[in-house]
Amino acid sequence: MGFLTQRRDRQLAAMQAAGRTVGRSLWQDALRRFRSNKAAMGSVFVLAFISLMAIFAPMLSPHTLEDFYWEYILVPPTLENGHWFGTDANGRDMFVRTFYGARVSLTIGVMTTAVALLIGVTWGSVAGYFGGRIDNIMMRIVDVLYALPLLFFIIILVTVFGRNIYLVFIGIGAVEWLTMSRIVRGQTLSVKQKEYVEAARAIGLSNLVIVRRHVVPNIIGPVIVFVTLLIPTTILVESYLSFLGLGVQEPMTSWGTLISQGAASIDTGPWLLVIPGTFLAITLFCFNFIGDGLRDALDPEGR
Amino acid sequence: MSRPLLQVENLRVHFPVGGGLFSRPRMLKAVDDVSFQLAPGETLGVVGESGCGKSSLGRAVLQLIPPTAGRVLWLGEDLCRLDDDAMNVKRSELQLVFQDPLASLNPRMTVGGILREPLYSFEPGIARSEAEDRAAAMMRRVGLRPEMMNRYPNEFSGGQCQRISIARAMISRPRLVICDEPVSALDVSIQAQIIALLRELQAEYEVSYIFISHDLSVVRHLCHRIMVLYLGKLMEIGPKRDIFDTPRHPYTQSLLSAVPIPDPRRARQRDQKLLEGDLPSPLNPPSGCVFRTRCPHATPLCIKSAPVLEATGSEAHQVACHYWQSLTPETHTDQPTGE
Ligand SMILES: Nc1ncnc2c1ncn2[C@@H]1O[C@H](COP(=O)(O)OP(=O)(O)O)[C@@H](O)[C@H]1O
Ligand code: SF4
Ligand SMILES: [Mg+2]
Repeated sequence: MGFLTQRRDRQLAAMQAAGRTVGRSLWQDALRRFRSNKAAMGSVFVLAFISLMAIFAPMLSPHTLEDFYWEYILVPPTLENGHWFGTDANGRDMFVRTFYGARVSLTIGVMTTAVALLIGVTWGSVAGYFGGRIDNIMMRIVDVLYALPLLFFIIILVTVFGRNIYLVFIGIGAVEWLTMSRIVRGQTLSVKQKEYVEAARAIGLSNLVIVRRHVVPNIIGPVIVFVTLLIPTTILVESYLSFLGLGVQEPMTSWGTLISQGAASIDTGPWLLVIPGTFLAITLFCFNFIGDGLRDALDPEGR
Repeated sequence: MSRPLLQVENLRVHFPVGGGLFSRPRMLKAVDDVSFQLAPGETLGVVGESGCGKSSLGRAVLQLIPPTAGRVLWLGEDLCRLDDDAMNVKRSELQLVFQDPLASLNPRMTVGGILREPLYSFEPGIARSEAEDRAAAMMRRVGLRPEMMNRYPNEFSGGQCQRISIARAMISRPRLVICDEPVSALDVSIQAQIIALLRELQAEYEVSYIFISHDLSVVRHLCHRIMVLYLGKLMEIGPKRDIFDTPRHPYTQSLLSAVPIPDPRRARQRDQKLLEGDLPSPLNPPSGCVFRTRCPHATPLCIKSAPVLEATGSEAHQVACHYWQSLTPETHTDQPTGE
């Protein structure tokens, strides 16, 4: 401990000698608090590991999604024959399928959340910043869309346009941005009252610049927390849709598809359900721990 | 007095309040028919209880909220009639400083970023090195070390934050700075430092101030003239010495008697005229004279008709009260007017 503080003191002294003083922003404070949260940091490493596996495992494995091994039908997980996670009823390698499913599920989670983030932050901050009639109209639209059930919406999309993974993106994103825009609007309303926004108007900045430079950076904390909770939600929604047969199509697969197939063969091959189910559950837990950690780290009261 | 820098004529700021689908909103008259002038290099104090419309007045002068009626003449030009772009060009000359030191500064920007922002806005194309030099010079001028440029507002004390706010307002060399209770949130010892700083800057830059405060003892040290507001209306305006020595309006008199006197013997001798009752709702102000519900001298005439502003002995000292002549002005000679 003493050694560490000594080293820090020396660094600080060196920087001051160089004529510079470093500032510690709220972000840096938050990062320091987040780092000291063991559950959240552990989750970051686990998620990073799963993501790396999702990217590289299908590339490095000798098996592909479409290799059928007739001599290995419904083999349980083993280290002996190269099928570490076993095989399914068609003799396909579950290791590749699990991480291929991870790719699809994580991509859907991140992409739809990005869509929801972009639309929701823009919509909510404009409504909150301008207020009055503009706010009224924009938030009524949100209310109306809220009343539309997600599943109903996606079934309509699928029946009109056919089954397509991009429709799943759009469908989930189109619904999830609504909550995002409400959160952002509420935050914007409170940031708008702050004197620094008025000071920004007094130096003649345009509304666009004020929203971008003074409003959005100050509402981003709760938004980040919501994002970490939205990603697992969309992963879960995709699984749910795949389970109902509305999600991705063979030979592509996702955790939802794998779980639905595994549930069908729970007597003959329980690992077909247990393995993708475990990965899904771990991923959901990790995102939740990270979300909690971020909320504690970004909460100004927590300082 | 030279040519006025600012002339405010019959300014009104009314806010629509409430009002649902079927009911018309009621009008809250935050500022009602206020007129005054300001000379270059002059400081006008604006006093009144909280909720009397002081901040609304300041924001309307700067066109940060649209005035409902009236004119704001800046060197003879009506600011209310300028479009946004033309007004934004003028803004380098009209700045403001707020009450809450920390809320005045964007917590996500460094102090250097905060100080450079007005320069980039008012002088597009200014070189980064020049902006940095000027920000550093301004920091030194308000008593902060330029090495702290890369720090964030949360690392500064309230008094230091207020210095940063003042630096941000002054860096574009404005001719008018509206100070909206700039010291009300600070410790007394720090208040004096900030007021001294504002005074030095005024001498150096020949800037005019509109200094808003709910506390007469704060404006005493800085202001040349004082204006007293009550429920959005002008009650009394005049040179500082007249307001402190011969206050004419009963409201001014009671505000003055609330100013603490350091000497307890003299404090006891003083006729206590502390205000009774609460401020009436600005949505439903009293008829006639708005001050009548709390005025010790109110008569039926005060219920019926509103007094108009009239000059007292000197043209510069004006008061809105039916009975100002018969009310013996307190001789507040025990009040040091301060220089
Ligand atoms: N944006 C607004 N909408 C409605 N009412 C307002 C608004 N701003 C101020 N008011 C009201 O106007 C009155 C004067 O407020 P303000 O100018 O802030 O007074 P002061 O600065 O003297 O405390 C208060 O009654 C306040 O509630
Ligand atoms: S007009 Fe009447 S009520 Fe108003 S201040 Fe004068 S005496 Fe009081
Ligand atoms: Mg105020």
